[in-house]
Amino acid sequence: MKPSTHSTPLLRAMNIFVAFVLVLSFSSSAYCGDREIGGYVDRAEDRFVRNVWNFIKNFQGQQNIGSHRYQEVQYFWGEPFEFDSSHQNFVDKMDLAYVAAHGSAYYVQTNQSTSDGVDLRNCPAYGDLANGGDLEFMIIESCNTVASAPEAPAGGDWWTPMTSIFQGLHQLVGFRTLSYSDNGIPNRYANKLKANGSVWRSWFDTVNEERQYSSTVAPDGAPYPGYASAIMYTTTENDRLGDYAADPGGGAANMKTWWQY
Amino acid sequence: MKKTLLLLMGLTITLLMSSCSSCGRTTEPPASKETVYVYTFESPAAASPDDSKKLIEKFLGTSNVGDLYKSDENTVYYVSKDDVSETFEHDLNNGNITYNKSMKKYMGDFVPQLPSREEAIKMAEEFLNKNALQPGNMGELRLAHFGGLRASSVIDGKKAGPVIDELVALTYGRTIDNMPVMGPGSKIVVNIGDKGEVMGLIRRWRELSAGSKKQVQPEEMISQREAEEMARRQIMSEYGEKTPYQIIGSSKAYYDNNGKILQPVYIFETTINIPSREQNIKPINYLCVIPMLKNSPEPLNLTAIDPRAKEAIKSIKQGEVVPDQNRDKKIDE
Repeated sequence: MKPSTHSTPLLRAMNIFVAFVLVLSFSSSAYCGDREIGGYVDRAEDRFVRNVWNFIKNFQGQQNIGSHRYQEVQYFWGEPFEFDSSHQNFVDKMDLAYVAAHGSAYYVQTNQSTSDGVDLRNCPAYGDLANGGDLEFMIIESCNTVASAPEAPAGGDWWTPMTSIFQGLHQLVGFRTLSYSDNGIPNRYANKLKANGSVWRSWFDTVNEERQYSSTVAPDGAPYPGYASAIMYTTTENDRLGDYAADPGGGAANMKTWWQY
Repeated sequence: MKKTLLLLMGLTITLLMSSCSSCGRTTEPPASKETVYVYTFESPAAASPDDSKKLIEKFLGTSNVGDLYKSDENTVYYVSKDDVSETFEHDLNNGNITYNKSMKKYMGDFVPQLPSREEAIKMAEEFLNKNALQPGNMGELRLAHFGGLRASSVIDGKKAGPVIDELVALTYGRTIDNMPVMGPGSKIVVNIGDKGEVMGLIRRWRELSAGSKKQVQPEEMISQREAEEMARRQIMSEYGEKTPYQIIGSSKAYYDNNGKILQPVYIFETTINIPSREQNIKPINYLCVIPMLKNSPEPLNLTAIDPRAKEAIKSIKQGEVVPDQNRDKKIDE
């Protein structure tokens, strides 16, 4: 059938309208969803306040990063329920959560005086898949929490303790050793992320930038400011805030860890 | 008796002459444990994002990078649109750079051929020389750490995969007057990958301005005892009164805060023993840096807290409605 060459004014108007709608929808998809950032502070030394603030201060007001917009929307003293029973309203409501705390392997302290905290092995699954959460990236600036392959027991199973929180979560980033904080890490890391840098690589670079020549070596042998580590999937290791992979399916399949030594 | 008197007088004159030769204005006093200085860094030539682009082309071989993100602190950032592992950073204030070449081929099962420690040191120093990145005084350069980057994946969701050594990393620090330089400046990190290729670099190094060395007089600096008291107050302020702590080491150092001067500090390595019911929370190692100058031209303010940091933080009880804080609020409003 020969295409009609008779275009009525009504048809032309409809075409223009459709084109207008398409343009509008494309331009809005350039920022296809606002992303949220939360900061959670262990009620302990002031340095934890400084650590979280120096990160989230860079996300006041909407920040365009790649095809997304990020803004800090939560800044709370830490409470266990923010990580477990009400996680959907707190860390798991965010796209990126930044936590500064005392820690040990898998553990995050939320209040020093009451000795409260959460063990990530007992926390609910984070991410879009299981519990109606949203979290893609969790950054924990603490000692030892992000235990990696060198911390695994004989047999090398570093992943099982972590799989419970990964149900859509893309990356968990932090330190596998003791860590010294109260330095330039949070601010510089935030700027690398705003430049659309890799979530975990930016962290590792920032930690390396802080390393210094001194006699300061932690009792576990890690030089200042500690050794960085990250848990992720092979499908999510190139994630950045402005452009990241589809949510990983959870579980141990394709899980990967990177660490400094 | 006369002879003894003459001998004593001669000895006294000799001693006086030798002491005068070291207090002359034109002669530099030798560095000792008690002598510290303030230095000024050389000011780098003014730089612009166009200079950053030239460096990107030089070190990454990438041109036409388009507009670059510039932070409020005047640092320019490049991250490849096609390859998130290719990055470049250039601090326009002081010339510091950090870059990473593409790590695409290191993804997956690729096992790079990495150099030994000795080979890596040789390669790193050759690279610095070849690219005119070496310090003006190589005697200041100290290898502070030899480490690297490793990765491992889970096989079939059940089994630990091989540990792959991806990069080796050499961290160089700096010594001045036989004292370490601490802080965010004065370091060079070289990442070396497959077959000795330099895959990344952090260079935060500015030369000390010739003739800027200024001896700190005793009356200009706080004493070790005063510094210890300041460290105690800092620990009490951070951790609370009556917190048990132990100073496990103290030393003098210089501090490079990426500012205009290099200044002396006292370093106290401490262990804080916080009573905690939590298992596995270890005693905290806390590095206390106390500026040595009573009136530093560039105060370090290392533990200063932005009042907004404490004003903005919220407490919430379980079950309370969660407010969306800061939605559409600008920081300066």
